[in-house]
Amino acid sequence: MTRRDMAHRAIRLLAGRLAVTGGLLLLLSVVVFAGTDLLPGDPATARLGGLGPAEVAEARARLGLDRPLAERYGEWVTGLLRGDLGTSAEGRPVGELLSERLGNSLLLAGLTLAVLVPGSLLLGVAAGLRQGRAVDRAVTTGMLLLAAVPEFVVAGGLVLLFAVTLGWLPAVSLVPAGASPLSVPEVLVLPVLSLLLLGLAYATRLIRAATAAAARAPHVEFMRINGLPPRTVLREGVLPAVLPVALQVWLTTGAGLIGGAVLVERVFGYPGIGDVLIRAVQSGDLPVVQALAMLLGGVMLLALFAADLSTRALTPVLRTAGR
Amino acid sequence: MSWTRRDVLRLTGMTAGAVAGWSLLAACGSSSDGSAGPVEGAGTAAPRRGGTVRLAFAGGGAGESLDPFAAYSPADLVRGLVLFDRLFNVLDGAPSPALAVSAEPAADAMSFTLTLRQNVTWHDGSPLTAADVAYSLAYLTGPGRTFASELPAYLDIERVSADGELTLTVPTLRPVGDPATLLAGAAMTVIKEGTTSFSPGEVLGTGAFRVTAFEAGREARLTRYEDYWGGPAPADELVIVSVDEAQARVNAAQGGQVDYASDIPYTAARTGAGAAGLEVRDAGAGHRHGYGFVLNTTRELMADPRVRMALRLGVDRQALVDTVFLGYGTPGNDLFGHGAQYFADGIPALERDTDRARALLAEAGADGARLTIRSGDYEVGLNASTELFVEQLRELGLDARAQIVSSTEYFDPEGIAAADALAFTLGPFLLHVIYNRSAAFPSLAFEDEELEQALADAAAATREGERARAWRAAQEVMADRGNWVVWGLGDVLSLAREDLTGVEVRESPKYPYVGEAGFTA
Repeated sequence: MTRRDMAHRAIRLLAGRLAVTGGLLLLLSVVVFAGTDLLPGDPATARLGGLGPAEVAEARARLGLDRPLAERYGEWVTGLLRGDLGTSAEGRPVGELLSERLGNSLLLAGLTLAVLVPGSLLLGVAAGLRQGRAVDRAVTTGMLLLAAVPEFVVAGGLVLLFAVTLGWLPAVSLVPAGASPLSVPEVLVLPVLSLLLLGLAYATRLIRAATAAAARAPHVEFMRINGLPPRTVLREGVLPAVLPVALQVWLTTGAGLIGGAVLVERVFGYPGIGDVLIRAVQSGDLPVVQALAMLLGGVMLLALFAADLSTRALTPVLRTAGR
Repeated sequence: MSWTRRDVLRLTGMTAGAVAGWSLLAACGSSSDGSAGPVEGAGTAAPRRGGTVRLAFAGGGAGESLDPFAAYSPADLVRGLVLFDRLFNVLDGAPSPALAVSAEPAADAMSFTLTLRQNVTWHDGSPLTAADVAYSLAYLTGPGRTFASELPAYLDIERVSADGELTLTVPTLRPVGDPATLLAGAAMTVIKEGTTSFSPGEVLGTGAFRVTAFEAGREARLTRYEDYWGGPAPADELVIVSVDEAQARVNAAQGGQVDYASDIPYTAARTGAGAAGLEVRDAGAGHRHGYGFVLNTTRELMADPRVRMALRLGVDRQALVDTVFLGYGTPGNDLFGHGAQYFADGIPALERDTDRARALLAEAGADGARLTIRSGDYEVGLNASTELFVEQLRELGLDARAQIVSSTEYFDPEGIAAADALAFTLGPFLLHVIYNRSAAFPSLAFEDEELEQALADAAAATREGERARAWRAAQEVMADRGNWVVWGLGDVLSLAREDLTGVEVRESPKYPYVGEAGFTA
């Protein structure tokens, strides 16, 4: 196969995947818009319900909630394509409302990933190579326990231990006005730790399984029998098989962390998008809920897209295969 | 991954539950630190000058604003109270002069003269004038306003005229005999003439503090305004932080991150202050919140006064107080407005009498009738009280069902109209606010000639004695045959540093006035 063929193939593959991702995004937009709209309650009842039915009807008309669904959807989607996320029920641009808080949530996810990537690789490979031995049993049991505990319980337990009982770290992530969370790094520790423990459990278990499988593979067996040093076996034989899996796990975990931070942010009062999402849901602020659902769904789809491509790029057989 | 509204609500409900569970866990662990009951009326000693007071309130997320007319969350309201001033405050359930010193009704009660306080200055040093007040009134009816105010229904805002530097004549659309009470109840705040932006650098108030930094949903830093008309405040700086989760507010106080955690859960109060130098405070009996059910008299079942009385006799008030308030409260006498001026304290709470309740139901032909009670997580305790009330009604042989909805749909007009009763809670608002707000909702209103006459008399009465008589008559109607089942009055608790003083309840203990807050030592 020539270089040109390969380039063609890669472009075709990329275009195909992009089309699929685009189609899924469109489908997601329909589900999000119709789904949130069909639910009972809206910004008018949530904010002005206490004033009486006349005010609710007036507010509905002002917010354009009395127009047909298809018409509002069309307007919303064309806005999205132009990068306009719409206007919240309180009259503020949704993009402006989310931008700063999205940055804070990305910071949490980024810091978590920065620890999660080396941590899960180290633990997963160490356990996978020593399958059935004490290290493996300890890691596997520990991760299983962590995975079984809901995130808000983990977060609550950490607060109880490190903030309330020991007093080492702040219980609530208070960030001074006009400052970035990075200027008060101590408020990041417990939220990151809560997210990390959850992500770590999931990623380590998958990496451990991939390592164990790779360690039993014929080519690794062959390298070992031929007397290659363990370090070379690991570098040349095991890691190339584990890394594509690990990359996929990290990408999906990373995308999940942004949305998964919702509950953790709530427990710590951290100023991220989780708080915006919960509040928007409670006050029926549909434009904000829709924008966030699209954003989180879109990030997840893009992560899956990237994971798919990178797996192919890292796996020689798939790299040259047709589709 | 896409979230539906229901998913998220369920999840937030789960967190709330988990957090409550976790505070119970904490209770088991730390019951040894001598959980004395809440201290009532604490923090009244004189504060020293100086210091930074940090207070945590439930916030409004990214939607928070410095616009006093757009204030919804406790954090918004607390900030608004110290940055701006109102024409009249509510103090001990009655109007008290603030920026206005008097509001004198004309003989026909179709207009009033508003006289403003002298020597009031804005934070830039300019004086308060009648034009500022006229501008603020006009601001209420400006285009696209999404906030709630009943004033446009009473005042002829277009014809308001400034007669002098500090006096205005305000014509009304219907008789207003007590304009001070109307303005106090509507929380009428004054902004400077020409204000269009409420961003931190531009906003001007007349209050005891001015803004130095503000970030919606996070924090506001406020500095003392030395030339405040009420005299300079004790604290150098106030930091008002928004912490939505009640248990997180408790943790923040226990960890020393804040000096005051407002509106803490009853479960947290049970465990005690939890750290040295802190105390659980009770806002006081006069500031309790009424919890109850409003019966929908547009439904056939609830239109029958015998059924309404049967429900009031069938409710086990003490059981609800013990379960929902964990005992931090008292049974109610079926009237909202406890703590307000003219409230009918003398009317006793009905004793539970299931035999009479059953007899009344039988007489009304409502044995085993089906009824739906609507509730939502609009305020903590509503859902729990609804489920318990439903059980109590089942004991009377009624086929009662709870309909629990999200806080978004709670106030949906069609939903309320289709339910037989709505779980409801109200703070110690002025009586005219309570009665007018309920009258705006056909399915919450109580149509009764005698009641309407009494309310009209109370609104138009220009003399104190007449007003007191009219309000007495109105409340006697409600006690005799009304559509409220106010089963309990719940305490509002906070966790504060023992040396914190001067947190003053005005309208509601959930958003106190903190302009006089400071430390004793």
